[in-house]
Amino acid sequence: MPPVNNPEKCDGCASVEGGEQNALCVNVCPGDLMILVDTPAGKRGQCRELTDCADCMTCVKYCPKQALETRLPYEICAFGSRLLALVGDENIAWTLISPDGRVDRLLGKI
Amino acid sequence: MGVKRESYEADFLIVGGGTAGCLAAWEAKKIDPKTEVVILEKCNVQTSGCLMFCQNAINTRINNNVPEDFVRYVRFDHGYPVDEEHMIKIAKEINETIELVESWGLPIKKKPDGSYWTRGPWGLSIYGFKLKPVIAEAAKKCGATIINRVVALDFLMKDGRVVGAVAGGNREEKMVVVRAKATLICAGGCAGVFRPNNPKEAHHRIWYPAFNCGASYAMGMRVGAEMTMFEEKHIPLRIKDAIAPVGTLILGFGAGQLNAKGEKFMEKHYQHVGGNAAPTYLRLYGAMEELKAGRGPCFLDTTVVDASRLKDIYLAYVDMAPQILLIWAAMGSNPTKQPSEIVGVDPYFLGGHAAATGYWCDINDATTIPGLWCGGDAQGATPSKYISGGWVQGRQAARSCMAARAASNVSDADVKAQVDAAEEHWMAPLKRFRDGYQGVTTQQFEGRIQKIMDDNAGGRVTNYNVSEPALKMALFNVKQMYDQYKHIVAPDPHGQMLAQDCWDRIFVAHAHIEHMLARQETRFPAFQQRLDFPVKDDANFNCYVNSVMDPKTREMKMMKREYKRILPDGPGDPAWARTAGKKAAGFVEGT
Repeated sequence: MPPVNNPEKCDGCASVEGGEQNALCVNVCPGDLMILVDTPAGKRGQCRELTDCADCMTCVKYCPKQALETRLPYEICAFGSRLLALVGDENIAWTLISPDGRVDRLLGKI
Repeated sequence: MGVKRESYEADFLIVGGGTAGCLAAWEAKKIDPKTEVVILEKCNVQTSGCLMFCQNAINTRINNNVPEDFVRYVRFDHGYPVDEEHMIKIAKEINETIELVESWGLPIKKKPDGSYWTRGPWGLSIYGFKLKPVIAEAAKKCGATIINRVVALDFLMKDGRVVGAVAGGNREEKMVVVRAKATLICAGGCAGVFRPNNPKEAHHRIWYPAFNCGASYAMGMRVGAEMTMFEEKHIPLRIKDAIAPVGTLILGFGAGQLNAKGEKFMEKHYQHVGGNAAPTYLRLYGAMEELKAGRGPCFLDTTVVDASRLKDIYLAYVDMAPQILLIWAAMGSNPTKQPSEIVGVDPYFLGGHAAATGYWCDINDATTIPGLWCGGDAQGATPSKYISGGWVQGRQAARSCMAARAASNVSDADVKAQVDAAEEHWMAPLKRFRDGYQGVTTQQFEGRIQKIMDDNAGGRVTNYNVSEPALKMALFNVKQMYDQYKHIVAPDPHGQMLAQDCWDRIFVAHAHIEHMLARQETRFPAFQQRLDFPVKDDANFNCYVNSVMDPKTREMKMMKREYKRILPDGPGDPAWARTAGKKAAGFVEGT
């Protein structure tokens, strides 16, 4: 379930204390797969090898800007579903969007 | 040699900052706050290892029974041989250790009356997001020196004793050398030796963490540590494509196994061994037999769950395998209306689930090499520890290490030659790449090992079946990979890590084949089966099959070790419960 980064939401963790060296996705990926790449708009997080992602969604949960979203490899299912995560202090708010536009919201406890 | 070298001295070195490793650090510091503890971790202890997926349950807790009952249950569910004495020792500290981690902030699900939300006789439901951070925090706060982003390569030896380890940086070009009075290896088990179900872009959509590649085992083999149960493939049944855990649906929601005709085949054909609660390997075997008979695919009957509880299923999975929600949504499936297809997955090697592969050790977690202890998935003969058992192992191993550590550290000079050799091995793929060598990529190398094993060592393509001629082909091809490694190239430190993953997997593949050849029977149908020896042979093989690798020749010497059956039949064992006319303890494998 490799992550896709929204470059408008991502700021390369420039706003995080310590700056980009403390970029959260880069810090937490258990496979050492997230890196910061240069773009005209500045540094942005990116998965260096999508096929190596193991779908733990750690980066998605830890991103302070909700800039990361998972996109399942097409090998294992049809296109178009989306799962977003917003982590709070006591809950994670999940939003599951089906290809037909149906939205399911779940509140999971932390 | 030019690469930066960092040197550390430790009383206690922990290789692997995971489930067992974090607890080991905490326990060591509790025993002696001044003791110097170093953890070597491949990624970031905060989120790494098996717990990267979070989990929604702890599968080992003594809810209403006594520890001996749990060990009887393990003897049933895993099958024997099992180190019963050692398992009792682990089980006795489980509940207290769970309470300890709860006091650190692990959120255990509670019922309205405040009691734990148990799951079967041996499980607890939890909220998983904090699972790894809570124990990582304990390891940080206790004052251990945590070295993240380093790949453990080899143990350092002096006079036949492990005196530390050397690691390579996977973000920075550097070597890290830790000389230690005691070393604990707890860097997990091994995935990626066999070809996965989704071999192309989703090749890491597997059940076991794709980033645990057998370093624990391979490092031990390279110094001649005795290993056990490498003939046991661990092949869980999982939801197809998502490769998502099934314990939640079986235990939490009451979904049983069905074939394509709608028959409850475990109840129909395997009632005499427990039906839906049959031992873990038989539940896979049952499904495989249905496929063979043309009655597949097989399913979990999730339609027994009322449609109003769909969100409960979703919530159970977001804490553990959120990808399945994406698949259900994309395919327009509703598990309460359609059964969920299940499949056998790629075989893994580990010692913490219903599998007992790993180091051979004594009851104090000491391996056969002085100076080296083992814990967690790396330890053999003590299956079904799961998460809480891993915690307990970390604590118990730490006590042993602290009590039996060497009097002093060796010097840098003592280990310089070994570190030089490790550096040469670690840097070679990067150097070849920079020299423009047109070699083999890490993905290609991994793919070749997986093909060899899938074709001839009992991968999915063979329905996990082998016989001696096939195994001998696999052995020849795998052994060639040791020499083939000289062609591997890596473009950067991350790639060097992937190259080392490949290197370690060769050793695990090799051990598996030798163990399969040596155990001339079928003891665990589906998990360990020989077409040429299709029945269990207690007369000759009611024992462990162990091995020791010669570090120089890499030839493996095989041996048998006695299985000591201590516990008489009794509670905890569903088979005993059936014959005694009691209700079976209906535990089914969790995640």
